[in-house]
Amino acid sequence: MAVADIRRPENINISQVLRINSFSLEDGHIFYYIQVTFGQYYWQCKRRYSEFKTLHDKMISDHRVDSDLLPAKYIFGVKNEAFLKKRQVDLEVYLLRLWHHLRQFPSALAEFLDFHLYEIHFVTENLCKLLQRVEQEGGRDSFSFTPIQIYAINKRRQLPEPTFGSSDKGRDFGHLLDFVHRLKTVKIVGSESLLGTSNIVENQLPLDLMIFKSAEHLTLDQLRTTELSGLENVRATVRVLRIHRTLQTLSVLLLRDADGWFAQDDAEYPRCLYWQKIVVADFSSNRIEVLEPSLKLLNNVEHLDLSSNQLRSLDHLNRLHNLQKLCLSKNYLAELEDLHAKLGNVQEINLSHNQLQTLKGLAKMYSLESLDISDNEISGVAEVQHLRKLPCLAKLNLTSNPITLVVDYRIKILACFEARANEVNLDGSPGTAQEISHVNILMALKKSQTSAIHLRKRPSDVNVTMGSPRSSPASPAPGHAVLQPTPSSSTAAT
Amino acid sequence: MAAPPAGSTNAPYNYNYIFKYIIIGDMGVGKSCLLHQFTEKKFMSDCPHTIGVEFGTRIIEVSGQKIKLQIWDTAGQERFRAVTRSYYRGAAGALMVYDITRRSTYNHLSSWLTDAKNLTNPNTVIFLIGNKADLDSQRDVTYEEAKQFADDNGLMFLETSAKTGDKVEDAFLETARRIYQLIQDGSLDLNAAESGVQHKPSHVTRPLGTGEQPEATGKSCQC
Repeated sequence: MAVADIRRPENINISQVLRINSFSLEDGHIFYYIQVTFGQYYWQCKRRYSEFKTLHDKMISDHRVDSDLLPAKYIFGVKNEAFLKKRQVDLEVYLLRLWHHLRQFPSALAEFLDFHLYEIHFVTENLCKLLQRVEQEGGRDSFSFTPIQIYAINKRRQLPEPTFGSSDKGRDFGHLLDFVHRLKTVKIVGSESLLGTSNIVENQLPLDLMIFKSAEHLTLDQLRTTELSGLENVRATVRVLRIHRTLQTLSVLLLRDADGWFAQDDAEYPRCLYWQKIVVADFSSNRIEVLEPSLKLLNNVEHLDLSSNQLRSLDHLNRLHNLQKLCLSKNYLAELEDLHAKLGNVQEINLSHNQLQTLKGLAKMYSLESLDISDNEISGVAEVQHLRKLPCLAKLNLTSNPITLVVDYRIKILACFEARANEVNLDGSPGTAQEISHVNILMALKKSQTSAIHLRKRPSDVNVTMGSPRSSPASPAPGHAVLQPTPSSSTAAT
Repeated sequence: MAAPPAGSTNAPYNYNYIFKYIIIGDMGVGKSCLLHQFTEKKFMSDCPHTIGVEFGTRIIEVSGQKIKLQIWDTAGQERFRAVTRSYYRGAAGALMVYDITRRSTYNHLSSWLTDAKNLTNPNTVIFLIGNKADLDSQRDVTYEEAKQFADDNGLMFLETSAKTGDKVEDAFLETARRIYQLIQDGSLDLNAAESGVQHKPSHVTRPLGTGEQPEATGKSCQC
């Protein structure tokens, strides 16, 4: 990454900064490869002679550069190797002279050398330009950054320099800083590959989030947690945190600035470490294998998304007292042992795309209203029987399980819920009147078999009427009277 | 073909309100037995330790309103304390139980009360229950002492016996009456998500599966 001194060229040994390394012929044009080196970082840009000319014209008009500085254009013999070699040297000399001649570093030259992509002054200036456009469009409170932009803002902030270099006050760095401070929605998308033609890996740059003083929604995508810092502010303001393709464990993030706090089960963390504001935590698409005690630092989270990770078991969810919605789809969960002993009062759980064969562990998740277990390995109606006592369950998704191939699948599943069958939405649709009446018949039959109370009709008659919904109001009645969900209102006292 | 006799009970909602209760207190004070006695009218001897949470419902009537009580019976064991704390959220009533024959369970009340006050909303009705009143000969906490504690902390109080059923009904119903009174006063906001009370407008009752009435009657407010 380029250092700060471009505005004071006398401090730099310029011949080490700029060099034209080579040239090549592409599509009938000659390109010169300029390498810019600052310390450990370098990048390359390829330019045609005509682009040098355009730059030069601008330099002449704007900065009174001597018009003879640029080597003259030749029409003939341009593809002569010796000539091109000499021209390469001449152009390099031209750039060096230009650099020396100018007291300021004009944007035109900076852009010619791709400084706006790699150098902190011009990266921030470029952001300022973008910001001007944004504000002309009425402004907005969300913005997506790359790590180099954040690095540049932070570096620029620390420089003992005026907040604007060029004469355009609209590009005052102060405006940018102000904008960043007020941003409500921030997204940062990193990258592990080399940035453009440089040797800069964006994810290796320190990423200080201190500048986001008002962020309520923060999304971090594809970053390295080891480079993250400045989380104090994030803790104080962020309500919705989304992190993707970044985490192997939650502790690396949640305890990022708390070195030395062991992930002991009953360790009490100091208050300042809690992420109190966070209501929605989306850690989908990471590589999390286990949940650690540090999860409790998200003590106010209501909606936790852990889908597309590598979880095989669920731990440490018990401290999340406000959790209402839990997404665990696309993990490696094969069983849920006594889930009600591990988390409480959750209304919605998504367990789709796991490897569940049994639903036994869900039998006492009495608070559940919505349950998605699509794309698992549930094969028997007996498994769904485990859910029959869940008093609030209103939505159940079992699609893409072997069980859906069972004959009369919907009726058998709905029948598990007995008198509540008509309150359960199965696989996206409530039971039809016909299905419910079949359920009622099944219940009546079961009742007659188990309690030895005879139905008014002989069982053979009931079998005959199975297919006809019209006969149903009479048949289910005995079953209903007994299979009330509540002990019955007759016991009510006043 | 007879018409369904209990047609009204098949309607999606045969009650006007849902109140959420939570039962808290030390291990072995009889929380599950109180619930069982209230919902089943039976004493459950050899009641197993509750794992995590248990659940029961019963429909009662207060001032002519049918009220469905959804009761969360929590585990008293310390290891489940974290899980059971979740259930305070959205509770309209909290029954805090101790055992009159074991002083330690009474001494722990302040800790339970702290949880209840911190984790519920300010309008949650907290009812103190001294259970096992049938074991008066082994009494370790006097009625007067507990009554004083209740008064000092603004709690309602009764001594009950889950074994004989004595005063069990009263404890659950008094709590409901108090909550209903708060609703009438307007101090309990029905629209607040955490109030622990849901209002279900009465439906025209109809038997199940008799026709093509919109299925949505039950679903739309099932949120």
